[in-house]
Amino acid sequence: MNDMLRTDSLTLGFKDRIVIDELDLDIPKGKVTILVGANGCGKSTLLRSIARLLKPKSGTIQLDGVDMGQLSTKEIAKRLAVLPQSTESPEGITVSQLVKQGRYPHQTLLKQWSVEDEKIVKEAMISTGVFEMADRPVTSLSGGQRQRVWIAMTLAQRTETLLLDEPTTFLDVAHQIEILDLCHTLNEVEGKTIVIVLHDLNLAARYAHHMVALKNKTIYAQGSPEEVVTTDMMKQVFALDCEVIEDPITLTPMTIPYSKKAARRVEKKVFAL
Amino acid sequence: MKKVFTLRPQSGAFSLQLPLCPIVLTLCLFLVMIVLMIVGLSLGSTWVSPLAIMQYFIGVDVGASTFIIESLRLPRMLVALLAGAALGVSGLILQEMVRNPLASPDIIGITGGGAVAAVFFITTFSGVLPMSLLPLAAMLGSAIVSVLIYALAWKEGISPLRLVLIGIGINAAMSALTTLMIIFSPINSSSQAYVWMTGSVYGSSWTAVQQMVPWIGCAMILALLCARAVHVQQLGEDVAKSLGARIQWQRLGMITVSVILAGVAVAFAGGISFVGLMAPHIARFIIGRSFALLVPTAAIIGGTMVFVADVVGRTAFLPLDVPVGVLVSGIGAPFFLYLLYRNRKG
Repeated sequence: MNDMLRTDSLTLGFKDRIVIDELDLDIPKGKVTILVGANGCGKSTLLRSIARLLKPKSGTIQLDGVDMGQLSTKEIAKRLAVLPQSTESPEGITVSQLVKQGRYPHQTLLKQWSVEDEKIVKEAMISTGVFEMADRPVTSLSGGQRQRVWIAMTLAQRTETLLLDEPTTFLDVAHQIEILDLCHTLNEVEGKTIVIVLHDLNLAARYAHHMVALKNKTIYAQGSPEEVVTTDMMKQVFALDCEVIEDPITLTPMTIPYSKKAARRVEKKVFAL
Repeated sequence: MKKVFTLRPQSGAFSLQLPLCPIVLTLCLFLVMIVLMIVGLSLGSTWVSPLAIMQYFIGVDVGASTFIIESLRLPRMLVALLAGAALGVSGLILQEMVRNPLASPDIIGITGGGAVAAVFFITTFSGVLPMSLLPLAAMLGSAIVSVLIYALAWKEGISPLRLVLIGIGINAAMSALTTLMIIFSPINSSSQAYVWMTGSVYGSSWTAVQQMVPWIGCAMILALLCARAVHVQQLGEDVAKSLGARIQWQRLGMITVSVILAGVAVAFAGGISFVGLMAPHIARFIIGRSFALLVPTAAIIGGTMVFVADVVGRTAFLPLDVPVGVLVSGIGAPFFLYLLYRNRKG
């Protein structure tokens, strides 16, 4: 079985509005999969439903070959960790206290803090670089640090799969790279299957093994970044004219959009000639 | 790392971690409460020396003072203490559940339900049925109204905000209903109902204590067991769900515990307000955020507030006996304003 997660004619929506229609999607095991698409195309909705935060209207989602509906929510929590789009840190909670919560699915009423829990929480804080701030209140940290703390919490869950919903929103470019590098390392070193919803196409192309572009309630294109990021896809999915060039650093596809201003510049250049 | 107390026997069958400093603080508060209780038992129209009270507790015969302590002051103090403790913890659980610092059983209508039932009982059945059934009526009222609030707030699960808004609405309706019943009732029962509504522990007996202890004891244990649920839910609905928490069941459990506590308090001490709002805040201010320690602390603070207010009420205005609810609100309202003021600055 090479698919960690798989959806079978999955239909999602709110009340009468269908957001995702009869979608069959395979997410490869041990790879970084990035979902892209225009605003409101349902990529976050899809991720939420894979994370069982949203009930499907119809269809099923399979985790490692088993229908998620058959598994208890705690069982799923041991195999699948989720970082929602917006997180709110409780007032006064310290970094270590928040990371500790990641052990929740592994704990019971009696076994609340085992030696193993302690070790795993420490490891999660070290691998995300937040161990030094263990006793600081999360609310006193910067956006990038805070995001790393939340990722540490999902790591403490010790799952094979990690789902992240726009983890770089509200972060400056340096912190965006930092978070995505962290995801990359987690995939490389620990072999985690990672699914990310991301807005930035150039970063998506850099970090994804597998890209999925959504449009019209279903998949428009999927495959390697080279296969997915094309001028045609940009035109169809984002309704934007672009040039696609090679990223000079990673050699992955890079999109350069046309715009009204760009058009004017080009005209000027032409006139100058 | 902060100092923590880890309970983890070799067998590994049981493990728990609590912050160390707050444990010490909780124990200190408990001692303060004991001292205040002794002082409170001394005070009254007849002074009983604290020494005599300590002697009474260790079983030495203190003669005539025995009657004052055992029959008059102690049961009344214990009822006040238990009611306050119950309200404090009830408010704590509600505030944590709805993640709103302004929630409390008297604001979302749980107490109001008890009041309607109690006033109905007083105005309709006084002289027909024995007054010893009043607590039962009040508890029933609280329970029915809570179920009503819960059912109305249900929409593919309970959303805390919806629960609070519906609770506030129900509370308004309940207070209107109570006022209406008082207006239409004969004067003697209406004054009785009025005293009950403000909250009073006048004339409490050992029977009341005996009836309260099992309910409150069980509910307190259940409250402690909510700690894990409370901590995971603080992370927000999505995170809690993805960590495998069954949040709807947890919420139902928390509301049930909160309702039992508030219901018992209302049944035996009437509509004491503000304790459920204030005690958790003071507890958090002292203890921080460990729920397992906030429960006993909120109980100690809530209990102390009510019995101290009662001691003041029965001694400061002699020969009048001012209902405890009046004094608690007298301290409560300014505190509430202070809280809002501090929030504005923060």
